[in-house]
Amino acid sequence: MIVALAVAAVTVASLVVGSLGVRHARTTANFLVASRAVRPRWNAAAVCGDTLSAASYLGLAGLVLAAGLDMVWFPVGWAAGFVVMALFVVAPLRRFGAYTIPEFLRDRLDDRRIGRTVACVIPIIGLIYLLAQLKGAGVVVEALIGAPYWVGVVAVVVIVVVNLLSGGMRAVTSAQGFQFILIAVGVLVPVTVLLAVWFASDRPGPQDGVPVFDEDSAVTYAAATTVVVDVDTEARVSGTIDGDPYETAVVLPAGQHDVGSGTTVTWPAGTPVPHETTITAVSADDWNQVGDAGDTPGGQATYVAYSLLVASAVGLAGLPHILVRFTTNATGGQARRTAVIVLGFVAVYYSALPIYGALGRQVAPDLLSTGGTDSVMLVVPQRIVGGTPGELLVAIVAVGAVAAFLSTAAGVMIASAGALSHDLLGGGIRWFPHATIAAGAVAIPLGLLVESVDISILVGWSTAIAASSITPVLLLSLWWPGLTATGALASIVVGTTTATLAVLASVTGLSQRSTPWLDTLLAAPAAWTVPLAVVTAVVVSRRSGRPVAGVERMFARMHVPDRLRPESGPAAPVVGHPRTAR
Amino acid sequence: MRPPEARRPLSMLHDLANGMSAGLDTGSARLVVSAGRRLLGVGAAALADAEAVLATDGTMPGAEQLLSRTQAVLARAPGTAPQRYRAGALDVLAHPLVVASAPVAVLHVVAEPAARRGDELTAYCGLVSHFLALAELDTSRRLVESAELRALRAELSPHFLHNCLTAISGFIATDPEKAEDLLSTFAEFLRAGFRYRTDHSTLAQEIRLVEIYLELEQARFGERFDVGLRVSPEALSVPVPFLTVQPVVENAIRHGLERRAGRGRLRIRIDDRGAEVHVSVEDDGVGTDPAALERALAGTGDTRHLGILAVDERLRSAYGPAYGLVVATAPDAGTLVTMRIPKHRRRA
Repeated sequence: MIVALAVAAVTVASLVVGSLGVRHARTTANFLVASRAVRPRWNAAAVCGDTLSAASYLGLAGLVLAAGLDMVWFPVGWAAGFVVMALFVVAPLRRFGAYTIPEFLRDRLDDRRIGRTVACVIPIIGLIYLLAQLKGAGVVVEALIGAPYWVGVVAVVVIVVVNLLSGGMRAVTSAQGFQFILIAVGVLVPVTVLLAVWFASDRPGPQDGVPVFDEDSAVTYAAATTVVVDVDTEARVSGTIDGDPYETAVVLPAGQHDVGSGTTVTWPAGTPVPHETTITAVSADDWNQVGDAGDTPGGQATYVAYSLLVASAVGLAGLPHILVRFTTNATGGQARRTAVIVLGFVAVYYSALPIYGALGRQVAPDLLSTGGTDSVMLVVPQRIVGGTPGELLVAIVAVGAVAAFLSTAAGVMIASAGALSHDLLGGGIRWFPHATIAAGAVAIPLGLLVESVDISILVGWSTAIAASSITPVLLLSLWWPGLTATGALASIVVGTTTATLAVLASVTGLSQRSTPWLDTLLAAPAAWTVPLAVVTAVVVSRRSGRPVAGVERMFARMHVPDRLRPESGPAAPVVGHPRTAR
Repeated sequence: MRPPEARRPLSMLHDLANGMSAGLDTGSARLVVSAGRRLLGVGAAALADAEAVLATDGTMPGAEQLLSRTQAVLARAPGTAPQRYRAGALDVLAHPLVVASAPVAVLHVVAEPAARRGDELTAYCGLVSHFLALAELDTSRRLVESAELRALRAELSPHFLHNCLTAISGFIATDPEKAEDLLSTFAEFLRAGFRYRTDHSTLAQEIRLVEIYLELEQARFGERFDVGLRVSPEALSVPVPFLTVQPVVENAIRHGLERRAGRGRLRIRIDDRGAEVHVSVEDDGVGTDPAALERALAGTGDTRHLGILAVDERLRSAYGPAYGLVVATAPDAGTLVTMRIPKHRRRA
């Protein structure tokens, strides 16, 4: 009950904060306070509010629970993404002055086709990223109030669309910053309490080997699930197994079993946890080790790790809703400082998340059996603390999760609908409402389809496409004067097509019919699609004649440091001079 | 393999036209000389004006000799025929470049079969002269535009300046400290108004200007109206043309609130709307007849609304015809002026 109330409260609060009390409101009495632009630290909080999504919040802990420390490559890659942005992207982009990525590429390369093409790619990336948030919403609602998965999906889409249309929840800096505070509290406070309780109490240490039920454990399978039983096991079953109804103790022979939806199986103490088929049972040694081959698609752990790193490190700069945030900074230098502060924030945040996965392996191994690993953060607090304090911790986690997927969903929606209306249809923001409704209408059915896909996988696809389509051209146009419009266009087309086809082959399962290596290449495409896009851009640019006219002037505008620009220094009161004190 | 001088004359001309868009300097002179050398098929060429040799390509006479020959040709203005002279072993043709019937520079080419090159040289010099004339036109167009802008801006203040000084002088006896304060505020406002060199400003600066202006107006009117200012901080760093908000506020006070009986309200809102910023200025003053205002904005009616007319033109010239002012008003119904400002302006 506490949980449901808290979630309702935060939903309402974040909507209200978005529309009220977030602007500098001034009256005659105090309007001589100098007009202040957004400070880097507060903007960094807003960037985090936009970036830290259901993927990192729920998904990462779930992945660590299932597959072990290999999955820490995800947050390492995301953090590396901010290093790339701080070093190479945000400052020159801010100095150029463009507001959206399509606008920047159009003006930098002096070609309208580029802007339109990118405006078509952005909604694809945004949509997949949005699906990850919807999956997160479905999981949270399912875990908290037991409502079916679709309720969360539909609720988030409706809330976000209605609010964008009514102008309530715009991507206002202070609202996003507020969301980040909720997210950070939602992760850090419970983890501190849980670790304290864990070490204070006399818990059994980590087990060797694969996870085993400590005590007799009743596990309820909400959805129909196929599990792999390792050894012949006598379990109490209430429901259906392999199509037959039972209300008794049953001996389940080793092998695969279909558990019907709503079935409760009480596994005896000492049983190795029967894993859901898509999750590989991992021994403690493998779980602790980075680079073990057993738990990655195609078994090429090293390749997959590098590909993930490339996708997230390079792809972050190509996610449309994050770069926009940096245009709020007054100068290029401040934009860069913002990115550095973000790095500090996410470092703390990302370090806390795998702890939930590790704790979950000790206290909630049943999630490996039901396949509901994405809900581990919501389950662990009650298993360790219990009672009302436990429920309170769950409420804190849930509030953070709601903040994470609401703010990210809104940010992605704004960026995608904005690209469609502003950059593709060219109507300023006139088409924004239509584009928003269209995006929402497409998102709901797709959101229902991805129920069985891990959140982090969805985000991985989205960043892989962003990394292959937008980032190469973005980086080259910021740093290589020789890039031509034709080269950029070819690169975007090649990068988008290869990455999207790879993802499609992977999501439809087509790739599994090929060789393991090909399957691996398709499941984690960034390591080859990103270089391919870069090479395409360079080769086609070299062959397509002269660079863009006036490129030297644009490079001076992007790269001359702020302090060397007399006319466009910081937005400090240029018209002001020290006023006599009253 | 084609000889290099036959390669892509059109693209050479294209480069030349681009390079000369800013007029004649050493960079564009080098283009004129090298393109001329190739297009005319001569061994060497040079370009000089009355002061200096701007560019040389190939073996040409010394700088001093080129300069004296140049001055001789320029002195024979407005003749446009080539002159021939010998310098040591070189046979040189000199042809003036003429802009608006005044010779501005001289192109020298070494021409061994010189007789054959005379016509082509005249044609080429004529072409280059055209480019120069275009560049000059462009410059003067820009000058006219900025002069117009300045004229419109100069229109903004005198009325207000006079009222301010009167208000401040009223305080000198009763509240000298406040008078001093207001005077320094006034100086700040003037300084902003004199900032002719850069026409770009940011919304933060525009708001500061509005604040200064309001402080001065409040000194005049005391508490005759409330002011509410709501600004999204995201919008502050957005670049705008200089003086876009203050004239609208001034219009609201002079034509709306000043004439109204009792206490009025002025609401200024600056909202962040993604790719655009929306600025609205609303007063509950006397309002205007919309038809009269429309005539004024079209430039055919009375000229009392010159301030917002200037803003309207500045916005349209900066962002295109879709971005003019929107004014909602009626007699006794107050006035609401809104403008949309794209965060990013495509630069020419």
